[in-house]
Amino acid sequence: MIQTNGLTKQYGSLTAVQGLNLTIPAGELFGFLGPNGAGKTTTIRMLTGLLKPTSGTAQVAGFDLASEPLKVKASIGYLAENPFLYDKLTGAEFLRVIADLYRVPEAGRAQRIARLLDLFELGNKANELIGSYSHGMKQKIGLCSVLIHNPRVLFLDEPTTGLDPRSARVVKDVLRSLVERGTTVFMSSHILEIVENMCDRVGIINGGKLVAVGTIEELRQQAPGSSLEDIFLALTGGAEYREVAEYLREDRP
Amino acid sequence: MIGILLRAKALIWKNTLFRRSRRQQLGYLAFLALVGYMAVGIFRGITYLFTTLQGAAPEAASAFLTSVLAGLVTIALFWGLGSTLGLLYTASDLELLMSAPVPPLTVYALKLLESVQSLLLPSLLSLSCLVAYGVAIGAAWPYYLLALLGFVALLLLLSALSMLAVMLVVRFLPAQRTREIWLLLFAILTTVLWGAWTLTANNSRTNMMQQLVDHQGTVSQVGRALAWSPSGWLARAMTAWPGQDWAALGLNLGLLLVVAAVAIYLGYAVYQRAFYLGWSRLQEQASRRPSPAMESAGQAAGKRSPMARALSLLPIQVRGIVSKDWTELPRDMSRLSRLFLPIMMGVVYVYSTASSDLAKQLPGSAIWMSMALMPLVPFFMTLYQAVVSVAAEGRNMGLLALAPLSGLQVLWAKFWSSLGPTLLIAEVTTLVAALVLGATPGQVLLFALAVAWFTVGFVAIGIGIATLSPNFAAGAGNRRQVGVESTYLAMILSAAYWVVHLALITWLLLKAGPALTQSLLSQLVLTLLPDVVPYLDTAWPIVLLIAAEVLLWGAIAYLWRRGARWIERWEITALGQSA
Repeated sequence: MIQTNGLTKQYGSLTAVQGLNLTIPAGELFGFLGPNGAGKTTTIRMLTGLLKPTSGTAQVAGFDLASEPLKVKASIGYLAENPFLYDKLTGAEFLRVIADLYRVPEAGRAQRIARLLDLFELGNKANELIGSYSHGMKQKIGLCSVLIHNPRVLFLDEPTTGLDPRSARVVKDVLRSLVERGTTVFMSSHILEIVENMCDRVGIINGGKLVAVGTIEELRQQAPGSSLEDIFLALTGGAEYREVAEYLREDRP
Repeated sequence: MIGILLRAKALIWKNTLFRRSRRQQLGYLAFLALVGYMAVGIFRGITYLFTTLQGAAPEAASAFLTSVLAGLVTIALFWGLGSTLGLLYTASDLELLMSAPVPPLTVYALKLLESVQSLLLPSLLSLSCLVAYGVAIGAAWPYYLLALLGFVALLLLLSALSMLAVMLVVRFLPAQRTREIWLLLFAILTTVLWGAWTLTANNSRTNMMQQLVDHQGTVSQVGRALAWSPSGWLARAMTAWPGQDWAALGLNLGLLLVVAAVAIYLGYAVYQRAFYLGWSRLQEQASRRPSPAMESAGQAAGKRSPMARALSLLPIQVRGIVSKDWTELPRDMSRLSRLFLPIMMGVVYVYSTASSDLAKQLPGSAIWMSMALMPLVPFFMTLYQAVVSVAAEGRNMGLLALAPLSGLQVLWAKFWSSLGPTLLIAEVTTLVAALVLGATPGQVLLFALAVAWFTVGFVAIGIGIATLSPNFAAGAGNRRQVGVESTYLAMILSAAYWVVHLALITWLLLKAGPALTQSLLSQLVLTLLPDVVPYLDTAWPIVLLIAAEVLLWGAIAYLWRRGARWIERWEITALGQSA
């Protein structure tokens, strides 16, 4: 469902993503990990058509990203870390706009919008301006908007940021049920526990290069340690963080 | 502490100025040079005005200084209210300042100084007047020192008053809402002032200086009425200089300094008591209460509004963007506020034309000349709607880039969303003006159709230019949403479109219009464009008009094609976000 071949993005002399080769089949929940600035968001932006790769190719939902961008876009949903929202629209109006943009059929649209709003407990806020929503509510309306057109591939950048535990649980359940129905989910997160518990496979990117990919069990064979956190730190330079922690402990008066 | 904060501000200012591309730096330097050139010109003009006035009627000069200072100070105060609101409640540094161990007095002092800085530009004209008056009376250097002292005191007083007013208003109204209402009021006030000034200037056929001299009694009366205002104290202090009335000078300047100090103290007292309350209301936004029908989990969430139903002829994706833009427009006061100036411009120029000498000499011509100018309304509205329509998406351009939309679909959506309000306002103002000027039903229909055609062309040009230099970061702020080159290109192309179609309509009416209209238009052409008359019966007009049409629509088609490609190649880095 997602396939990349030597996907590379350069900003001047900086290589943000270098030669990324990935294959993610349909119905898989793929976790994408990496330290800050490793290239996670750049990768997602390239796969969603928000950035043009410097070199390499990508196929998403069976379509080539370079030659059939509109078909790719019609098949995917992308929730950015800070969702794209219109503050001067109400939640319901915003979802209607998104439904129009993705050509969601009129029949059953109202019920679908109402069901999504109910699912994320936004039903009683549907007629309030998004500008008045809290951060968590904005994240929830963003989630509703990416689910409204039943995407075949879902890209989520830190989807549980700002959500209360109950909503975070709803997100996890929704993602699980989507994956069971054959949707591919590509998720980046810093919450390793969620990735460890939910994802079928995990990819770790560091300095723009994919340093590991596989199931948690396969990753355990690549790097020493028992938890995903240990594996992550071992592959991305965790020793430095321990040194910082040590320094802070010694520095305390 | 205040020193650290001011150093940080200076650093930010320095980085903003110098850490930009060479092209931006050159543009900024060119802008500064232009501002400097204009400032010198304005200062020379003011100096000439005061010198001449002082020579002819010294009483009028001092009264004029009082009146001008009062007017300028009022404008500066109004300006200051808006910027102080932003500085006190919506500035990006507030959370940092509030969470850091910075004493309230330091935060207040910093905001006061920032407010003074924001008032500096609109107040510089006041300083110019004081200096120009000094030049006119041949004052020695201590005059300028005292004028500067008084000017600084006046600025501090204005800043403190702005802060006081803002803090009191925000106690009752959320800051975001106050800012929006303020923007709307400021736009209306500016527009009305501009309109009044233009109409007055148009109506006064005699020299302005002579008028001042002739009406020095009235000017003095206004000056006396304003004498007991802060700007009046400063003016009285400075106008006491030629008569060497040191007591009056000291008393008025002292009064200004004392009142400024009291206002600063009062401002701080109110700041301590009221600021946190307003700050806590910061996050509040005007939001419609859910209607009973919507309260149960958005049962009606999927229902279409009447507006959306009216758009059902458009393709679904285009309709989505258009209905979104039209829903947002009446809720966004900063966008609404931009609609007043084009309307006022239309009204002023139509009025001026209708009351011109030519209109009086040629009965029946007023309506034709006025209607020729009516496209001014859509002309200027296009600059505020169509040209900025893509940039106005701000970071949500990412949302459109994610959606399965072609570049051309986005442009069509923006075309319809800009055309709606522009056409509505253009038609309403045209119809009102036509009826006021006594147009016949046939003329009303012709003018309505003509304005619609002009509007379609202007908006098409504006949309083609909208992707030339959009600034997506301008969004909520007051920064320019498109580059200057886009604005000028839109104006040049729209003016060309205007001239060509005006010529086409005139030519058609001269050839096939009613006899009375033909006769009237012939006389108008003979009066305004006598060189053209010999060619009217040749093939030249129609050949030139067809050539101009081909060129214009070719340019529009090229701009649209380029714009569509630009949208399809758009990358999120255009928002200025890091990877």
